[in-house]
Amino acid sequence: MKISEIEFFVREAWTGFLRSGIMSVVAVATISISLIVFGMFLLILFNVNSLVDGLSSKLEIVLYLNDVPDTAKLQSLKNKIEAVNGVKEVRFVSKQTAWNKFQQNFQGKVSLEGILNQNPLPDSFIVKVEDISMIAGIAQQFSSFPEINDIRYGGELADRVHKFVQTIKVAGWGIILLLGSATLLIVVNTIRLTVLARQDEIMIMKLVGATNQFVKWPFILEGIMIGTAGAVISSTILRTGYTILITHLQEALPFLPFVYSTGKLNLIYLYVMGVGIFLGFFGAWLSVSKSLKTNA
Amino acid sequence: MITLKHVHKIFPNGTRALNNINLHISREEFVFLVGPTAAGKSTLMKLLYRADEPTEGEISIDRINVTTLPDEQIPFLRRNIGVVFQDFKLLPRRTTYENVAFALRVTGTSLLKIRRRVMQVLDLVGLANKAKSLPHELSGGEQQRACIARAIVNNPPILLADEPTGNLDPETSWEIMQLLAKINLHRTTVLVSTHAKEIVDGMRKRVVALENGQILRDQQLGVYTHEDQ
Repeated sequence: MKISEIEFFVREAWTGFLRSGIMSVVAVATISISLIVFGMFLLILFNVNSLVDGLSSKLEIVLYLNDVPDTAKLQSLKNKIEAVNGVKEVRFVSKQTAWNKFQQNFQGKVSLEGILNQNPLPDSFIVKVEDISMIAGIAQQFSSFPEINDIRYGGELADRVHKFVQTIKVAGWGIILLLGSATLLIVVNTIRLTVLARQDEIMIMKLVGATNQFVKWPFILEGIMIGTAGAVISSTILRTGYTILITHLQEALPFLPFVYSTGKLNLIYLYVMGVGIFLGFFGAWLSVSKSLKTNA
Repeated sequence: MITLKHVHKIFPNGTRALNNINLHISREEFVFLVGPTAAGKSTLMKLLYRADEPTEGEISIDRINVTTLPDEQIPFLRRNIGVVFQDFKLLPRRTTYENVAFALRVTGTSLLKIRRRVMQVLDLVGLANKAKSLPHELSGGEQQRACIARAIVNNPPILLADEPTGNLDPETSWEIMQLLAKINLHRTTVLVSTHAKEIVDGMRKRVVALENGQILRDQQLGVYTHEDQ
């Protein structure tokens, strides 16, 4: 490809874009809207995922110990627990720490003075697991440890949370797939309309001896331009909209872990842009190739 | 220059458009293709620039076999054949200049050469002062001149005109035919299909008469209707 050819393609694509006027505006608007819907769902899914991850990271196994061990024993027990497959993190909570925390939690609500004059709480280990679906199996393994008196891991609650997480993830991907296909169809068809509107141009180009490559490229570049314009508009709107919305939501629901990390969010905006540009290219390529076949 | 040997064309619906056509047109000839509507004139033209393929027979242009030409070679065949249409087929949102330049741009000619050549051709067809007009601002005759300018801008050795005066009044039709004759004088082989009896009779060129897909008559210095008919 020569420089003069590339210049011709770009110039033709640009004049084609301008000359199509309303058609180009409608195409860009359609693509922007469908990408915004797509992007909105990506952001929602992203937040739900983060919420669900937050939820599952709160699940842990608590191991209550029989009697107060000495420091050496404690360390060897901790090592034993850590050695169990699937254990992510082990934290020791002494009976004193547990008592302090307990008192803190009930401070002002109930007066414990006089009811309990000694600490009834045992020493304990708090165990976090790598995968919450394995939590029951791991908890089971600790029952053979003689030092351990009692095991608590949320049992049925853990199973429910795990199922909920799985459902949300599968449904999320299903919807993304559906919405992605809908966006693909809308964008490809919109671009196809801009190509069909200029069928006469394609026919004349072929009649005066333009090679297929020469006919194709201006249309493909125009498709990329339309896709890019739609992508830039939609990701700008998504970005602004999300920032405003999330600030308000966080004020109203401070306990929910909304996604703030700009790195992760930028990835979504980039992804939306990439999809838009690619679909512009793909739609134009598809329709112009089809159009070339019918115009022998 | 142009040779058709035993050319048949049967459309998928069974219509027999051309029936055993044998025709030879020499370099720099001017030939009228006459006959009633649906005689096969347009079909014959389309076979020449490979907008369609014959069912049977062989067509060669400048010793190149058009019928067996691979698809990717078609653009290069078409650069050697200018085509003029009854309905002009100008791009509506482009100026006269752009419409004519289009034919050169798609062949990758440099902008400087394009400018020189387009102005030269617009001058030849008498449209130099309408270069910046859009097609709808031109009269029918002017639009046909623009179409002719586009057809000859890359100096093709052959010019095909399919009913070029079909949409024009008699006076304008004469001007267009005179223009085609002038282009013929610039060493271009010209094949014109037409219904314009007065013009054909007045110009006294070679006349090939088609009817029901067959060549009825092929006559040097001919007229539209033979005396016997």
